[in-house]
Amino acid sequence: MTASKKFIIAFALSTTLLLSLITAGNVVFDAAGVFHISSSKFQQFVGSYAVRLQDAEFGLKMPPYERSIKIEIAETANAQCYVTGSSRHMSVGGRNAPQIAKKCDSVMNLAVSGGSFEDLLIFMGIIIDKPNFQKLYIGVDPWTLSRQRGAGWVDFKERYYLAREKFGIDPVSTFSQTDNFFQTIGNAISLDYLIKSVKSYKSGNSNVSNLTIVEHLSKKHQVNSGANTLLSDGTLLYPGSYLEKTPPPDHLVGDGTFGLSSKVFDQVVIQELDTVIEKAQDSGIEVIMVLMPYHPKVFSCEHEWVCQVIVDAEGMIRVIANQHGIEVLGSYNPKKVMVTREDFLDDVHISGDSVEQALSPRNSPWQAPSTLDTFQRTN
Amino acid sequence: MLFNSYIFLLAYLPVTLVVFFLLGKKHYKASIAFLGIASMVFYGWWSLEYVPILILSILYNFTFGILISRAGKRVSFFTPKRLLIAGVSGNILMLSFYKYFGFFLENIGMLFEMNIVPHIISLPLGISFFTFTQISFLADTYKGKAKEYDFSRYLLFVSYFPHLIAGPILHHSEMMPQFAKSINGRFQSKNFSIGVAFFAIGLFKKVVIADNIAPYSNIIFNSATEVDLTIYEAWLGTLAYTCQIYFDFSGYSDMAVGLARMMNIKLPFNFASPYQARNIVEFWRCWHMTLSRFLRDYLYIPLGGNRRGDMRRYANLMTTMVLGGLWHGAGWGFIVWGALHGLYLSINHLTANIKLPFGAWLWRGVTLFCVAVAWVFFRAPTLESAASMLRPMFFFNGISLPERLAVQPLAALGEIDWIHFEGMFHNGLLDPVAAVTVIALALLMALFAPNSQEIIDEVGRGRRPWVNSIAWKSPLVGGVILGAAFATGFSLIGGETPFLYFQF
Repeated sequence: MTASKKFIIAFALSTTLLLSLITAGNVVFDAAGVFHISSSKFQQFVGSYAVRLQDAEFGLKMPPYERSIKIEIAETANAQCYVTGSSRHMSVGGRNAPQIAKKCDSVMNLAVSGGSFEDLLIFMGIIIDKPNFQKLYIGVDPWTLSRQRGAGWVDFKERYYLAREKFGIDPVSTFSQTDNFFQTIGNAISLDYLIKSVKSYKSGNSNVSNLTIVEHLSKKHQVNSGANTLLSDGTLLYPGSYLEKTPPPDHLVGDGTFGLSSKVFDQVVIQELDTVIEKAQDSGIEVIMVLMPYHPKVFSCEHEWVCQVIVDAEGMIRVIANQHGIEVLGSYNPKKVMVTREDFLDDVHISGDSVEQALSPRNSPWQAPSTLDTFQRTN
Repeated sequence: MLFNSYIFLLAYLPVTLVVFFLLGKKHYKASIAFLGIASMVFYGWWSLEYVPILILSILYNFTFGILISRAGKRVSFFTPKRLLIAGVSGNILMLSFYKYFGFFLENIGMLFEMNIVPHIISLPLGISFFTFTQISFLADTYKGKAKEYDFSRYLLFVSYFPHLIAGPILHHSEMMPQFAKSINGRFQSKNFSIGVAFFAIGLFKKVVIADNIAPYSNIIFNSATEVDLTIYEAWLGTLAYTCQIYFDFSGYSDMAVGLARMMNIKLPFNFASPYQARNIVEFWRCWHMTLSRFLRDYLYIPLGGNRRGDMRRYANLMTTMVLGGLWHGAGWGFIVWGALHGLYLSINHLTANIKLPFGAWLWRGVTLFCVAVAWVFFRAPTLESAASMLRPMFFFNGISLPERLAVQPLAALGEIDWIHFEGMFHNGLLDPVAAVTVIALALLMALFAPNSQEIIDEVGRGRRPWVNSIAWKSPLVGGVILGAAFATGFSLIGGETPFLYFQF
């Protein structure tokens, strides 16, 4: 046998052995229960959590299965108003936004981490036929106007396709079984997941404990605990230790580009958003768009193109809103809504106490940036 | 599609290799055509809207190639030289439109105090690389070194997926003879194993080393204008980026070389332990070698090189390096980076005949220091931000010592203006122990470890005979080690992180 053939065999065996060991470790330790928790047991947990949350006086400790829970809440809730969006909108609710509270008897927050256009479709597909549904607050991020900017929705792709069908949007496949296959492979061979799982195992937080509901937390408990709390209206309350973090952050997290790219407008997505809004309006639902501000540091425009993308995105969203006669609350620009760095938990998330200010009327009328002239609508 | 993605490694690459070798057994021309199409699919995976730009660019240059090579045979207005100028101008115009138009408008606005807000034109991926590759083709055709009338082969030469997005920048003459050999359509275990070895090393460099250093350089550079960095933070950020860009780009280049080699094609090397260079001239012989070659052959030498006296030589060096900097992107930081390297090279040539004292290691250190300082301009988003990094690096923010040292007799030092006892990393931007450990390990590797060519014995007996053919002296051990490196990189892919040079 030649040296090169020996090398290839040794290479293949070594790779296979190491990846097999990682996979075996992931299956054994499995911190998030990806491989162990049966779907029926999981559904039972999610269903039970959604019911107990809506009955809770204050809230429940938030488990890691946020999207599944929000979808279950969407299925079972009977609120008059709903808020959708990303983690930037997870704190928005009737308790801290009088602008919303005075128009709604009941509000349910359905925003999820990394919420994307696909998530909006999923949630709208579930709630649009609810008899009590009167107002929809769409939390719009710069990335909402393009496709596949978040990965979380992928686990609920059947619901996504159902929603497309419901809204009469072309059943264009933006996701294939192969993506699912690669995701599964990624989960199985991830060395990062193995390390996290082993740490979690050592600290006694096995996946079984993730399916335990902590009953009815009190405000005091929330303040003292290190865990996120989901309130009974679906809004998120950060742990006290996180909220008390001082001084307020004044640097960008990560590379400061927030996963944005210079191409954030997908004309097809914008047309699909038009369709969703029109369907909602036809059903007698009032649609309102919610823009949460970015940290002033972002608007110091260190990354000039990021700044430009965000400004352009707000421009495009207001063009869409105008066309549909929709009210827009807030602005991406913190100066416009008079929030300061003290109002932020980090560079993209505003604290719950500052939501009212963030959604307040703008201190100056919005003016289209010159670059908006280049926007083209194709509807 | 990224080389470091599951879709590439588990679907695109295996399918492309299997179909290529199956076709190559009996229908080599078909296998070449297939590779061209597969390369277009690879490019179109990023964004379909750029495929027409790539195809137009290929058609344009192919046509000019034919016109130039045939123009010499008859007397007409369209002389080869005029056609070359027209062809190259078209390429430069396209590159300028996508890459420099906004920068140009912005600076015109600043100069004349006009409020010009250029709309962002998104840059087609790899445009700098495929444009330069084709400019070199036109120049070679003009010199009579290249001639190409077969479109499918030309299409493959430009769009060949291992080098399309971020190089190496190729010469037509080094690729076409390889594409012409039908034997290269057959599976050859030696080439395949060498290719796999290169790819494994490249994946490890990118995913395990570069991606783990990136957060440290990002946080420091992004905070530079907001907080007063300490000297330690600024240097850690700079060294982090120094390592990140090396392992990221050389990792990509190793993967490109490895992928091509799996298909029996030898691409030129792009890196040869540049941080082990003893001077800047040597550094540029080892850093992005195909860009250096391009700049030398198509810019520095046509400008006159060193043939017209020392002053002209330094001016040529400066022009070449500034344009080389500008090639990386439209920004003053790139221009300053290029100018700094032009200055370094001029000083290096000026002192070439002086026998420098002290050992080689001192000059290696000095070279690395100069290179790292220049990287600050390359990485910082603005010149202001670069200045905010350089100030603490050169003691302008003083020296901050650990608070626990503020006891006598050391506390007396606090009387000196530029010494404070506020802690070495008081901004809390990073975990200093983790950062120092990771960056030091990467730096040690860049400074002392053999490079990929040496490990895989592709360069013959070099400066480190002990390391030659690590992979082949004991193929079983080499296979196990590199297999483990590949598996580690593969299992850490997680979120797909693009290569730094994709933005250029």
